[in-house]
Amino acid sequence: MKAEDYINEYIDREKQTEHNPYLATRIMAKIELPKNKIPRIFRYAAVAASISLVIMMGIVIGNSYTSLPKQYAGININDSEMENFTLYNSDGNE
Amino acid sequence: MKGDHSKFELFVVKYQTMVFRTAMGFVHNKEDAEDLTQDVFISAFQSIASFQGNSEFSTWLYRITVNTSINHLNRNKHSAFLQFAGDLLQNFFSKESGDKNPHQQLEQSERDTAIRKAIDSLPEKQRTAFVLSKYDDLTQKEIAAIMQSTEGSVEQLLQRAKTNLQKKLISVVGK
Repeated sequence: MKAEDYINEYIDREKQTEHNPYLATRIMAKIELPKNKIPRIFRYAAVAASISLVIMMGIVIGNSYTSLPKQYAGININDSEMENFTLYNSDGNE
Repeated sequence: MKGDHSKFELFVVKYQTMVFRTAMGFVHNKEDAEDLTQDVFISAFQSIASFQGNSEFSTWLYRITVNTSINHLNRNKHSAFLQFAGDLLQNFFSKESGDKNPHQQLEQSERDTAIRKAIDSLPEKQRTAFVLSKYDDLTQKEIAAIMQSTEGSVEQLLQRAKTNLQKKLISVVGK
């Protein structure tokens, strides 16, 4: 067999390949899909803005954190002195 | 708009096989050829207003198919190796060669890969003329109309493609 015959045989086999019977339906479905009206550049800008916003929020929230002042509660063991009211006023020490 | 869609669907049904076959000549893979066919018809639908009827609709569609296929190949040059590896395996395990023994199957698989590689390595114009001639059985006149060239230059391109293929395949299949 000559090279040309092999090439023709190969091409004939490829030509026999049949496309999906629903190819036309698939193509028409794709054509009828509503177009995405937002230009690509705006989509990229939106993604970049979202990432920047998240980073900024992280920084702001991080900076706004201040540790709560420690609430000292003293116990007066000297009964002759007035009872320490801070014991009753301070929250969370009940 | 809806009317346009239903008219265009008739075109799709009529020309899908033609576009698919041409795309197969460029990509040698059913799935890729179907994707290309879809891209071709979407491009055609979007630019149908620019079709002035100076040439036949099929000639215009062939031009879009060739351009889309070549663009696809240029975009996916880097994945050619993976495609070859996949195709090699697909050829080797394909059921079509059921009446052949493993040695013959391997031989055919190697030969197919070599032929595909040889076709793919042809210069762009030779490849286009070759695909349109062999896969679509178009005459030199029709190919010249699609390639916006002369019959003489198409004849030359086909002759050079044939010589190049024979040179490239001499080590695999002989003369």
